[in-house]
Amino acid sequence: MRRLPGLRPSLAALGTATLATLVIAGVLIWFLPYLTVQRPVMTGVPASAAISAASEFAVSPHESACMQSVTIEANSHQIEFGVRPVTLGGAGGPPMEVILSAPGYRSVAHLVGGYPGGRAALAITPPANSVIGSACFLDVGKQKALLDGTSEARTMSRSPMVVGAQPVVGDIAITFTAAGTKSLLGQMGEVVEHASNLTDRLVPPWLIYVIAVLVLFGVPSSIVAAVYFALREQEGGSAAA
Amino acid sequence: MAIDVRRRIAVPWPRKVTAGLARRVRSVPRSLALILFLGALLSLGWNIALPAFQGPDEDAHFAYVQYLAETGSLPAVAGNSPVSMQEHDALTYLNLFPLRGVLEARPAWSAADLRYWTAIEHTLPSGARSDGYAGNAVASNPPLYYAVMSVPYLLFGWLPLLKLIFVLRLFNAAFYLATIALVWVIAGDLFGRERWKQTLAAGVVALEPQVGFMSAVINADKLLIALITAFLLASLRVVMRGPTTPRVLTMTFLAAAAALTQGRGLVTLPVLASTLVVAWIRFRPQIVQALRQLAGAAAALGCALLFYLKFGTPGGAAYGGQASALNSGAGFNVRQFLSSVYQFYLPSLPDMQPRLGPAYGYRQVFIETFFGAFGWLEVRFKPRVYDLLQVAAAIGLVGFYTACVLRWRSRLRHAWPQIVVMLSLLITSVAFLHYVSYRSLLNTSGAEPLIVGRYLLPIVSLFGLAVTYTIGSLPRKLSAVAGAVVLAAGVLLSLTAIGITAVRFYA
Repeated sequence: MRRLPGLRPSLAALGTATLATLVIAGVLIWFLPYLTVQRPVMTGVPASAAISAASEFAVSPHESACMQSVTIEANSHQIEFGVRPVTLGGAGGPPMEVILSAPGYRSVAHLVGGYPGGRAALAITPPANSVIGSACFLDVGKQKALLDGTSEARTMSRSPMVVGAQPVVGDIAITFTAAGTKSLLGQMGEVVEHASNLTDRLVPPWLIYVIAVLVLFGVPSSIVAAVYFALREQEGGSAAA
Repeated sequence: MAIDVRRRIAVPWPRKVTAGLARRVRSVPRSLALILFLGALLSLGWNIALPAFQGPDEDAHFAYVQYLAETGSLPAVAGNSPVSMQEHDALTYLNLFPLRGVLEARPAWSAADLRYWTAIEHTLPSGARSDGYAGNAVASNPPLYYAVMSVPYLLFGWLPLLKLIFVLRLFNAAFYLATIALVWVIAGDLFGRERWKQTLAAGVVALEPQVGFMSAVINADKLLIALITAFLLASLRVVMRGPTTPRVLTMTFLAAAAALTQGRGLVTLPVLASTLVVAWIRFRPQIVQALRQLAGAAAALGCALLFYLKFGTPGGAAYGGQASALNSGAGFNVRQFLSSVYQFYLPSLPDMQPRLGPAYGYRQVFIETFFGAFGWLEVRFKPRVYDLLQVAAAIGLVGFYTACVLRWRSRLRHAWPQIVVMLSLLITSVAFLHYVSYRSLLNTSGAEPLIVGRYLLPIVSLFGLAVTYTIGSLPRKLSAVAGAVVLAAGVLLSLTAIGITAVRFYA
């Protein structure tokens, strides 16, 4: 069957359509699930865990380990940290209190004793606005507790720590999380705010949205248009030849 | 004869310059302009997605720029003050130091943190920007990149640190855009002015995720990539159009500039020599002319060397990083070296000694860290993406080989000078990296292979040209479709890379 000349796709149309289709398909198949899947929301990591050599900080009964310069955000509803009893087995770990405080803010969370050790997640009352204060882990039981952390130079945070009354080199690994889960699209406001803060607000949040839209649509559109013009010129050149 | 004075006065020089510039801008091909626009957008996106000091060695490179711009002196190699107090405090109080390479860590990102940091920055003493004088990890690097970046630093040095870094990165992006434009020109020279092939070559380079990422990192590699790409263009012109004195000098200056930017820039020197030999074989210039050009080239290189020795060495080693491993440490064993290179690419044979060092080879360097390992290498695509890239690279290599074989008689044989230049750049660069990697493994008892895919970026133009040659050898419609597939993959990978990096640092 002979094909009608008018229906034969031009080189430019073929290249452009292939490119555009693949990019759109990729965005739908690859990006959308990534952006819309629900995930826990991290609201701050004042100190992360060690990379290679984990440290444990012992807290004796009625003593506390306190970290200063800890940021607590207004959307932090939970604090996570690693803890275990000194002796495995037996009655389990001692009860602990986690006291977060800053000017005009205080929150106390309780960890019930008897745990085998591992990652603890305790509900906290968030501050009205993000604040910088201290996080203290008070052992209210009758045996020592060991808190996970780091004393590697390369993972140490800004937060100085005191255990008992003694300054200690190291950090307890702490993570704050929000209540429930959110998609990345749902977190976009916070993400943009964080990015803006780390440019010292040189790029305000609204401009980050503009740039994000420009990158997301401008990059594919530019390459599609560049390919279109190039192939059209190529066709013109071939026809002329 | 009357002189039309009024007409002369009516067009003042600024307007002439503006008109000339506008004419030049209008003469930029639309496809190139669009790819440059795309590159600018990607670089801007990367600049926002990547917090300060989260690019490879960015803290050390910025410290070098800052010290040079603030004091006019080069930082010393040995010592205990590698960064300024201002930078040290930013790394500490914004938790940017423990963030480097640690996937679980997050920066101090809240409004309260920013207020905290601003208060600290305001109380810093006046010398807090100029006291990073000794112990900088990149102090052994030659000074050209840092001298160039001192210009925007001096213009915008009054800004607070985080803003200043953002602005310096914008200037840094110029090297990325220059690389794209240069690849466009090289493709035009090699393939004839075929817009499709030029677009494909420039597009492939612009959309290589690692190249885009590095455009937003304060790091001497960016200038090195642009300079080696410019050097390749100049070398190709010497062997294609003839070794005139200006062309030879341009090529030599670019080689000298590359060597004054980073130790890996030294790979241009053997290529320079082979280019001159090829050009003289092909064009057979008169002995006097050839000697004059040789003298000019030697003088240019000599001046660069003298400049470097006089002003550019901070003391100690002449070069740092990869170049310092060239002639240091334990004894060199040719057999072990060749076995090490073989096992880098292929599985070891039954009677071979195991390769020195960790399981680190073609996949890690040519695929994973060449196409995408961001931040301090901790931000990566999913493993299956690298699997697909490795398969695509294998198909591409087979296709490239087939295209070369099929076109050898008809076309390639006549282009032997260009092939020699490009091959010499490829072989010198890869051999250099293997050699320093082997040396480093010897010196660190197998702990540190030293090389990553980022070090291949100075020859990213060859990657773009090879892809273009392979796809351009296909029938026209198939070529358009295959090119579209490659560019679509580049778009998706580049956008994904920016996205996962932003999520890693801000979510």
